[in-house]
Amino acid sequence: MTATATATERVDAAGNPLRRLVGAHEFGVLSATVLLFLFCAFGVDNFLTSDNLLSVAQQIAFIGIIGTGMTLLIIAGEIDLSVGSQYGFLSIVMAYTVTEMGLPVLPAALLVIGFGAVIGLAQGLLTTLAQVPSFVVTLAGLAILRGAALLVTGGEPIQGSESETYHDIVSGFPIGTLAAQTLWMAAVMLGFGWVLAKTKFGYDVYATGGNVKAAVNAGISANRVKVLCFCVTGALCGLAAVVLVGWLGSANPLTGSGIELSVIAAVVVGGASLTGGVGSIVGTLLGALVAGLIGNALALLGVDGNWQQVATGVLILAAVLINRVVAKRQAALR
Amino acid sequence: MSVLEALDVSKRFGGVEALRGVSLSVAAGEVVGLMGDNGAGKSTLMKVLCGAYRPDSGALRMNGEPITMRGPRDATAHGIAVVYQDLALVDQRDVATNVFLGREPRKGLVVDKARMRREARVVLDELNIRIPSVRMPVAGLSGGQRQCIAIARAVHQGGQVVLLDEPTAALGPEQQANVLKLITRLKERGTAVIVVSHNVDHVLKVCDRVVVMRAGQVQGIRDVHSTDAATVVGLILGEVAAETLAHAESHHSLAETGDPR
Repeated sequence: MTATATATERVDAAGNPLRRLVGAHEFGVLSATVLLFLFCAFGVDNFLTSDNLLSVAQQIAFIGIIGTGMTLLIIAGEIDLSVGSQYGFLSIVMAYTVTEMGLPVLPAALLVIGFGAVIGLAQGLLTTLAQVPSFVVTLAGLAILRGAALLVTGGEPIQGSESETYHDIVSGFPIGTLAAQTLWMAAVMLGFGWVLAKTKFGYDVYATGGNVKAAVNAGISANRVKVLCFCVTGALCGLAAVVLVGWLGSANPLTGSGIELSVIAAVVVGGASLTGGVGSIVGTLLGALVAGLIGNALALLGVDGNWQQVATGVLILAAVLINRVVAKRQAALR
Repeated sequence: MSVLEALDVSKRFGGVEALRGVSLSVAAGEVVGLMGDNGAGKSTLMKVLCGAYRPDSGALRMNGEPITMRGPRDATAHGIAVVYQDLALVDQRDVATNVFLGREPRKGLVVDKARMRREARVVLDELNIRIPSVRMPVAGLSGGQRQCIAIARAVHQGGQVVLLDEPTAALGPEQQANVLKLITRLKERGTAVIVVSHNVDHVLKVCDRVVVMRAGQVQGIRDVHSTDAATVVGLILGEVAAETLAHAESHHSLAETGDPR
């Protein structure tokens, strides 16, 4: 009995760590991050200082928070193009509830996060029950929510809360120059990384995106899973809005315009497949980090900021090509 | 004694009578082959048996008890498992995850991955399914191995009756042999199996009885040991006249009542 047990363990033991690393979907983005980091460390002045690195971590915080929701959605086989508009609209809602409605910050924040979840619920139900592709539903959402934000504010930025505590909690510097935004991102990514990798819900997300018919045949409620992923994404847009408004003390109706591209880029560069079933939070973090490092290096080198857009585009293409090679090699390696 | 029984089942779609009073039974440890030309009613019958369609008339019995099923989930709850071709596995996930798909064991909030791997290996070993590692994503496996994993899941999730729809279609000869071996293994374990197939050789090789359908009715039931490919093909094509049906049925019911089991 023990003999068979050990034999079984040997057969199904994890492979050589190096092989597993090379075979992982995140291998491409991981090597890109390492190479880029080494290049910057040696070739770019002022890059390798803790202040600079922590500022990169601060800059990617919003992409990271929203990207966590997007990762879940893309793994589940859906997409949300409206995250930038949700983020902008919810920023306005946050500022409006604390100033115009005079709500205390905490209930206002919870309201905004809940409101985000409701927006996700609506888009999720339209996608699953009305069977409109999420690409279309959220493209409409992108326009509607941006329009709403501009209508409510008349196109002008509005004042947010002046609470010092609120500002410190979302954007203070609790440890040295480590920004609170970075910690919020870390908490969100750790939390949902755990949910995605370890819990039954996470398994259902992968199954739903991988083969929706198989998931349904196995008794998984694929529609429920998808709607929940939309809700999480909306709620995280709400959280990002809460953090942003506390940090800036005001809200601009144009907040987050175009950010959906950076968010989707981070997820895809991180090894996720737009056809669903593949991806991870670690990958998304690395995807956001690569984009952040490129932007930072270009800025430090004094290159025109518009090159960053070009670099992001090239990065997406490169990442997808590398992932394709990795996917092909995986079958052979494992 | 029959595990699953369909009695005089009829199903009509608009003006089309897909099933016209079909009766079928399968006992524990028995493999029944369901054959017939396209449009003979095989798929409709399978869908009735797995709860996807409700019959217009007739009854279903599980272990002698009448059952009604409102959907495939009810079928699963009654111990009827269907293996859908190509609709069963999530390619990107590993073997262990696929064997437990939708029913992952948990330790608190967390899926118990170690237990899943261990039990998946036990199930695969018990069914003599050879997979190098339960950590492999199923996308990297052959069609035959994938079919076997889908069947292993059906068995593991408590299927007393396993319905297989064309399990050997689109597979190479070696892989077909593996799937047929697995069907024999299921029989040895006492699982009741119904196999829809177009391949007479396979049916004669692994089944105990073959039920041939034609135009929504049972054209004939044969014990595989006392029939041959020509007769079965004749039944499928309608060339072996339907009057042998009466003979076959009475013969079969006599055999069943005389059965000491």
